[in-house]
Amino acid sequence: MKTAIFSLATALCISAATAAPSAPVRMPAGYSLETIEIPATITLGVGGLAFTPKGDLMICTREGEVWRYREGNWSRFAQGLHEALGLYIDPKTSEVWVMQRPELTKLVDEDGDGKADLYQTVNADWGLTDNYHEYAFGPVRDDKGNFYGTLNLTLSWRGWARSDRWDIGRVHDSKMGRDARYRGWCFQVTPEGKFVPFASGLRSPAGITINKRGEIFYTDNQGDWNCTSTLHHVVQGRFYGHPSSLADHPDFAGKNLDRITEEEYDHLRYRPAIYLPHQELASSPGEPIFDETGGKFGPFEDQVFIGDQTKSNEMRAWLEKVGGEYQGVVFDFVDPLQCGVVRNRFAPDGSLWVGQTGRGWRSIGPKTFGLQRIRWDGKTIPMEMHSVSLTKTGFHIHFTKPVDRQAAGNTANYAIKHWGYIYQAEYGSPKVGLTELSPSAVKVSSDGSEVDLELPLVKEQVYQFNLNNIAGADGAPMTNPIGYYTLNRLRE
Amino acid sequence: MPGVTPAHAADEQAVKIGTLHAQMKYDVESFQVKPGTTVHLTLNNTDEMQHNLLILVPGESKPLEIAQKAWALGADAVRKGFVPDGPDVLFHTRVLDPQQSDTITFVAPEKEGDYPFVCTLPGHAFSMKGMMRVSKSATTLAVKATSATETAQTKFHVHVMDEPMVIRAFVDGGPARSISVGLPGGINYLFDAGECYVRFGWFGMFLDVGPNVGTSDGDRGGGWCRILGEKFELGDSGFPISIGDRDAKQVVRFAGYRLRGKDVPQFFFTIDGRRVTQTIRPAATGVGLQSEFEFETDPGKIFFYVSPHRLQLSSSVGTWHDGRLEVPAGEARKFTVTIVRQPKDETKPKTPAVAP
Repeated sequence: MKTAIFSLATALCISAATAAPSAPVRMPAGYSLETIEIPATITLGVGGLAFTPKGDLMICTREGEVWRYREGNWSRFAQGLHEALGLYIDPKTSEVWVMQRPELTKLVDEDGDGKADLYQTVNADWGLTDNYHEYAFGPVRDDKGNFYGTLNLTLSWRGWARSDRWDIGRVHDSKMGRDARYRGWCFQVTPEGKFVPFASGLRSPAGITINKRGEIFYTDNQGDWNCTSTLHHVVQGRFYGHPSSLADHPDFAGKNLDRITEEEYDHLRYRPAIYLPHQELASSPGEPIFDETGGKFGPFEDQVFIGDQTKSNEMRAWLEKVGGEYQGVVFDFVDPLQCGVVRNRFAPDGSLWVGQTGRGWRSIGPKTFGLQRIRWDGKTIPMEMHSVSLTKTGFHIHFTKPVDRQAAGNTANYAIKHWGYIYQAEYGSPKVGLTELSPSAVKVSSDGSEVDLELPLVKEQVYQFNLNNIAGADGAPMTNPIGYYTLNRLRE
Repeated sequence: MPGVTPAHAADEQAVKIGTLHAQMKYDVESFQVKPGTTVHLTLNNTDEMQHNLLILVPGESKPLEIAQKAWALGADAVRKGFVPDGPDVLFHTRVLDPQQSDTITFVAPEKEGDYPFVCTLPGHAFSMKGMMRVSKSATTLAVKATSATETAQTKFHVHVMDEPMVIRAFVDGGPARSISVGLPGGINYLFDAGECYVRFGWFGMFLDVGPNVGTSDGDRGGGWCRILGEKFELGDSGFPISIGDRDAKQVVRFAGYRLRGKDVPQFFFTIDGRRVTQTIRPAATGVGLQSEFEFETDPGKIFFYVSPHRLQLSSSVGTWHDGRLEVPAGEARKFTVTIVRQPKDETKPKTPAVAP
């Protein structure tokens, strides 16, 4: 099993080294890409992005610095941080918080010279060893002033952890373990600075976000106990699948986690809102971000944009609640960018800033680090599936603008597949029960912008829709004609 | 071109020595002169840090020995140009800022032998040294140092210039929550942000952060930084302060640090909720540190523990009993503790002193 994993990693490195695209292959109409020039003296392995109320972009880096950027001008705000992987800036007071590997820190510029001089520890109550994989991500903050972050599990592959502490807390021979407390948890830090273990079962949760409704989502990376990369809606007290974290769960105190079966864990876990099919769409997702720009970024308000480090692409997801829980559809959006995408942030003008790093894992985009910006021109509506929602009898597809009604009315033009994944301790999962079908019926709305498909529905499956044969009424093809809907629950 | 060229007369020689950029080395490893020759030695500092050059009496261990004496000059070091008193230093340049040069003229010793030369700025002597060979059969050849370009080995070396530096990263021999501090002058230390005290110090260059930030595209980083100097002990015996009792059960929490310009960093932590500020400076009396502890509110009686082996301990208040300092109630709100490495020639530990 290990051999297989290492050869996969090697294959990824090779493909990353040989592919050197200069521009994205996929870029919806109306969108453009700007590459920010970074001074040669700065190594900007982006760990976090945030805008100040005045519109300056702050960037924290894997190298431990915080930079302020505005229109080609760079100045260093802080340095010497331990692998800074996230920033939060108060939209009213401009106060800055940074997530470092060992702690959540407030950075204060006491003398007003533009550089932080007080590095104030807000909370450091999670465990940390010298295992390189114990990353800390976040913070996001809710409207009550609570911060949230996510903590990686401990890498437990002999020789790869660079630490003697690699073989602790593995469950069913998992490739990740738990060396120190609260690894694999989402945590909350209250306004008083108190650490609250919030949700468990995380693996390598490299991105966390909160939307205007106060709902928190995080992404996780494919691996042991995670069949493919995922987007999860976090609710306090829930368990999301990787059992190593349960060593710190009071309900499991004193229990031997190896004696709980995969089937039992499967009943305990909450499913992801969206599966991101491995290699097809993602392989190491980073930060998700909700488009709450009020339409400044195009016709995708309230949708989620998700970057991927290895694939170097930007994805777009649409969520709906079915049976009280989120599920939804995900598409590719811009692919590939110049370097692995780990951070996303909307600027006040509605453009999407993309923070990038490739070092260590390599990425399809060949640069080692970078910063790019995706803009919408404010008028061009791209030809895309806006959303795919579940009905009682099939799916309802809403396009961004009318499609060719004749093509859309032909059931043969909907290539649909669905499959399941195995929840298991082993690394990843093949697609199981792969089924291909066409809808039994299709109904196109009179304006050609919506279709209803009838087809048999099976829960706990991913449905792939390939609409490659359907173009816009104006002849424009879809840039991203493939969508993946995670059907956890059927409509009652 | 570094090297030795014949001067006007047969009994005069000119020697030119440069410094290698960011490598803590001279560009000449050795040169030869004949006994009694008048030598015009020029040190041309093309590095971005200060350097000097001292020519010493023969002896393999002399460079480090003399350098350590220079570092122990403490507050006097700058005034004395990092040149310690005594007969071991034969000739020396002044301290050169970047891009400065200095020529000294001296008569080479009559006695044949290998006379080391060394830079005595803090930490430099580990690598910044060479040999003046005095020999009747001296040729005019000088041996150039091997590498004249910045190498991969030094690319991730962090140098402290005129302001203190703080770097949080894993450090070889340190805990997971390590904070490395480099002070101008070559004194460095590691503050444990988990346990809230200074674990150890080192003098010399600061830190190689390559293992932390990753040295190649395929390197994930997160490895242990290497300290670039000689480690010195500071009596690590765990968190040093105990309030009220000799062995109080306390909850100690790290609260951060202040790093502003040229000021030395200050660390903050709480003991059972009582806020303490620790301000750490190089010791004025030798290789070591002086820490000032200031409680926000009077803690009453406190105990302070140091493992005293081969250390000189002193404090502004209280009484030492081997490695245990007792500070009576009412005196502990603000006090200093100085921990200095014992000079090597002293075999017996000195009785800890209390400053007047």
